[in-house]
Amino acid sequence: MIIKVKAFARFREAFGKEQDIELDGTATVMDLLTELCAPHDAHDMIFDESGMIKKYVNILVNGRHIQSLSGIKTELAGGDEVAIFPPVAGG
Amino acid sequence: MTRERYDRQIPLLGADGQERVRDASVFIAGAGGLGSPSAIYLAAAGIGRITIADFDTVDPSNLNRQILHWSDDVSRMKIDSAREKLEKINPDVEIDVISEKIDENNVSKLVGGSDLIVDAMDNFRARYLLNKAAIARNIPLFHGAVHGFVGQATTVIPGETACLRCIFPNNPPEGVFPIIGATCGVVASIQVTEVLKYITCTGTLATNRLLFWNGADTTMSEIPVERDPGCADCKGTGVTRYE
Repeated sequence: MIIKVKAFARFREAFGKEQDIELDGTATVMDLLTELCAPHDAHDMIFDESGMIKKYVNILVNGRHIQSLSGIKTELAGGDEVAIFPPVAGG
Repeated sequence: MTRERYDRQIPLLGADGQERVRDASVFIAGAGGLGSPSAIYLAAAGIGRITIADFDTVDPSNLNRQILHWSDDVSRMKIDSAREKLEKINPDVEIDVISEKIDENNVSKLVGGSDLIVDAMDNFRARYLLNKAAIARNIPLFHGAVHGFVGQATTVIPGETACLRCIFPNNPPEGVFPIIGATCGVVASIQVTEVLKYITCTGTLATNRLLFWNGADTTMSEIPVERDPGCADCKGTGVTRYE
């Protein structure tokens, strides 16, 4: 299945503006991120030392933050759109 | 002069729309990078009453972006500097200033007298307070945030659209970060445009959408966002349009 990934702000430098990622069978957000980070050496941008997603990295699946779904275990379906962006908090 | 002042925007907003702008009151949370251009454009547009809250004084490092404050204003209270400029920009506008730091005890009272809230805060702790107060009092919230060359904006209609907590459930780290003033100008201009559209029922609002401005590659993009049915801040309030 094909998942569309859109990256914003500094994540765009690592992942590009938009790309289609092909995943086999049943896949989760974790599978997607592992696939996504592999060629970009961007693991440290997303994950902390313990291998968990950094809490402030925003990952939305079809407009819903994964924290309100099933976190990194959120299952993906073909055609899903995943947005990844860092916090922007200044004023 | 009053009518002539608005000659170029009345064709867009309508004569009755301009009256609604005049009758509206806007709370601007912060007189800094976002609050400065927001307040300037809202005052120039003829908002009836602007209430602006900031507890800080002007620091020289503010001057690259906080365009309400000028070189001579260093060390002054930002609200005093802001009031002086805004009253000169448009004497028709009533300017109220509040020198309190927004906290969980005062936020409801501070925003309660206004029809709309402009989020010009520099941290998410305060933004979550505004978000909750906006939902509790059913006041639209116009979010903006900036960092470096990038910024984001969205419009929250309590009970109807995704709120700030739906989109950003976690408080990001705080700290001093790089920024150019023009980034604040872009994002604040979006916020003010949203405010004027909301007041005058013009156009389509940036609700259930998160807009991203990226000055580094000069692109504007957006993603759809949805209400979280389990959101700690807006769950069970107002019209529930999610399935």
